Amino acid sequence: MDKKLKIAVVDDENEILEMINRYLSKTGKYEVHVFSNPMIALERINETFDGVLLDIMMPQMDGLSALEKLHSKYPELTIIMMTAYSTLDRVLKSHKEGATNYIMKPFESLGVLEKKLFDEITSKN
Amino acid sequence: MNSSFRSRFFALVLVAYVLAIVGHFVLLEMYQESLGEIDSIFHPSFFIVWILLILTLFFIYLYKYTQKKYFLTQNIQESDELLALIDDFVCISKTDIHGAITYASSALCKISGYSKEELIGQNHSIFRHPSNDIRVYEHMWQTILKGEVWSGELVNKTKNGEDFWIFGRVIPNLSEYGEVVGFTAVKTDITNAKKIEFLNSQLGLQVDYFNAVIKNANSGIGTMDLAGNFTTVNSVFSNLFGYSEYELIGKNCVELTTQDQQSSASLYLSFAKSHGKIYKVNKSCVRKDGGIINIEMSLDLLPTKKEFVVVINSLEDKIKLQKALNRAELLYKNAAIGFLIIDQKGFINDVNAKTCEIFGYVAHEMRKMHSLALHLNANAYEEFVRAIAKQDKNPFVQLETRLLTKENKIIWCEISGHPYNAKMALQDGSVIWTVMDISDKVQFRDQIIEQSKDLEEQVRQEVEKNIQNQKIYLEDKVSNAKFAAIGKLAAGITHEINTPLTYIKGNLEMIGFDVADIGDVHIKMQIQEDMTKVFTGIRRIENIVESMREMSQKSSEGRERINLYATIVTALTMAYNRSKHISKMYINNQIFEIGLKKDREEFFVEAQQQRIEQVWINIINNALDELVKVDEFDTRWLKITIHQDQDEVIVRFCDNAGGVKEEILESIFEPFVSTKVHGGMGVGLNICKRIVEDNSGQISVHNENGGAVFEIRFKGVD
Repeated sequence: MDKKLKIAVVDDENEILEMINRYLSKTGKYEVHVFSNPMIALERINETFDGVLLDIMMPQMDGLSALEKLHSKYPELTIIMMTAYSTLDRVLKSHKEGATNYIMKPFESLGVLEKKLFDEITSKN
Repeated sequence: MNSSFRSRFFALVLVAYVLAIVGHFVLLEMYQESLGEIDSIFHPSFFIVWILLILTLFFIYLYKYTQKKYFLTQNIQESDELLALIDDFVCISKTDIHGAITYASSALCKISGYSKEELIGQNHSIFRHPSNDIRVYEHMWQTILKGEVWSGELVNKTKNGEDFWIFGRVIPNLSEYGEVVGFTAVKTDITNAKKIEFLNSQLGLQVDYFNAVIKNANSGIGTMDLAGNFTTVNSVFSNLFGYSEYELIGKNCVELTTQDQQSSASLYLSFAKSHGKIYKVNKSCVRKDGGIINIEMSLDLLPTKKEFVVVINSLEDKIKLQKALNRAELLYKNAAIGFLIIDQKGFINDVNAKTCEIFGYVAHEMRKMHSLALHLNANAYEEFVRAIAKQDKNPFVQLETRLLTKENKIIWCEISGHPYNAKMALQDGSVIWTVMDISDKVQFRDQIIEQSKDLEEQVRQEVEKNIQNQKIYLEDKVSNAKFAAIGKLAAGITHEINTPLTYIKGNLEMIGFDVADIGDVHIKMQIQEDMTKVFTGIRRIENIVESMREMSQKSSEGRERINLYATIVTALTMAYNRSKHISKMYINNQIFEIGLKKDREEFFVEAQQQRIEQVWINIINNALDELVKVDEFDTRWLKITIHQDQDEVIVRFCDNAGGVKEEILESIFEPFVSTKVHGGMGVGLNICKRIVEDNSGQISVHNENGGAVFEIRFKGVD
């Protein structure tokens, strides 16, 4: 693998950011950028990113509006929504707004998460 | 004067004259030579003249004398007769100056009833009548004492005390010296004149009286000539016909009758002419305004035979009265109310048919009876009379009392009427009572009272039931609200749990990678074994949270296509915490454990998911409540089966906790039926039934194999 995939993880929970960062980094396939504030994430994420893991329930900004903004800016960007059951309905509806896929919290396993992410990015390319 | 006396006298005078002339001439012859010249009137040649003169004078005297004497005799005779006449026919009295009667004529005696002997010496005031004004006497005395004549009318009194009227003249008698020495009263009896005068005035009064009577009579009174033309009418008469009095005068009575009665009217008229009267014939007449009036007419021929007196009365009032009477009689006879006319002594004077019907008597039997006989006994009668007397301020009495029929049957009657002292009593003092048999009414009333007691009880029960229903409704509401609140809470909690759960799980996974690098196999094995336990725990947490999430998320009340199997799994998951200490639970022979796949089997129905889950939880909890009473844990079980039978999905909850008590098996879905001694409102199953039925399902219960079976059926969908 010549180049690491550039991934952004957006979640207000630092523990989750840290966990995903650790896991994905450990695989060696990704260059992980974590954002606990979606506003900053929106500023920083650009066309160089290969994928975004985006939490849906954040205090600063609703994940769905963040999705909308990201998708309008970078329509080709792979965006995977992270959701708990309580917001599943909204996530399912978000598909047409540009969400590539979704993953339920708690994750079945981090491996599943990584696989889903990798598959989505590579299938797009 | 007597003519024979006069002729005889004049013959005598003539003879005397002849003798004187003869004597003169004899003397003249004898004494011619000696006579000489006539020198004086005493000359013998004048002798004869003297003789004749003397003779004439003598005869005149004689004539006068004899005549006077004759007349005197004659007068005396005549005045005696006259006096007797006066005495007989003229009332004369004489009195002295003091009024003592000195003379009274026979006529006076006759008229006054006294004898002359009685009157003489009496004072004249014996005739005085007290009704005369005293001033009349004073005036009389003043006049006559002055010597003047008084005259005037007086009423006098006879010996018998009767009145007689006189016109009196009182003439004072004067002495030769002009003194008043007495009075002569000449009285003319004017009693008859006075009587006539009185009768005249009486007649006038009577005429006035009759005129007033006629004018104010209630009947129409008039006169008409023999041809039937009115000559006078009173106002009632003219008013009856609508004419003025003047308009009617001259009109013919036949004209006033209706066309069809005119010939009979003429007949009546001629009949009255010949027979003097007709009495109370009825006629229809035409008023001025064209209206018909029925009258009753009487005709009387007046004694003059020139006029009739007509008396008419309107029959309208009479006809009305008759109609009213007929109506009253009809009412009395046919009324559905009994009438009793009772006299003051309490005897029944009359009854109507209804009264007879009520009491079972024949009318004539009742008419002889005392009203006492209608009462149960004398005491009851006395009580009744007292009750009436108490009401004397009220002019109308209405009483309910028990009375006795002829067959001694007691009936309840309502008696109403006026008490004896009321103004409403009939002329003879009797009163009218009405009587109604109200036995049926009283019986009905008693029934009603009885029924109303029942009704009261029913209402009470109904109200209680309503209150209970209200409670159930509230319970349902509260329970719904509770679920909604729990749902909201659960949504929050699941989110909050999910986040740490995510990184607990993730980090544990990462620990797993790190553990792989541990060299000490024993420690590594131990850690991996522990981690497996932790994973199991986390999975359980995940499942519970997911069930909570489902409960909270599917709060929409609309029906949707749901997998009934999944709802049971959810319910079992929710109940698991409790059930694991009480009993094993099976679903379609698979023992239930947390993590059982919800889509392991599929039975789709259209229902409200959350509500149905509520039902399952309720039934499971009920079963657990009963199962806990079974001694051995190992023997306890709750088996849930779900299967499709044609188009129905049938869910059965079977336990082995002894079953539902027979006495409440029928009513277990009724509100407030509870198997629990403490706790439990007993509304759970009632709510379940309603939820199931709201979702077009049926719920039933029966006992089977030493336990209860709750069976729920829904219509399956593809």
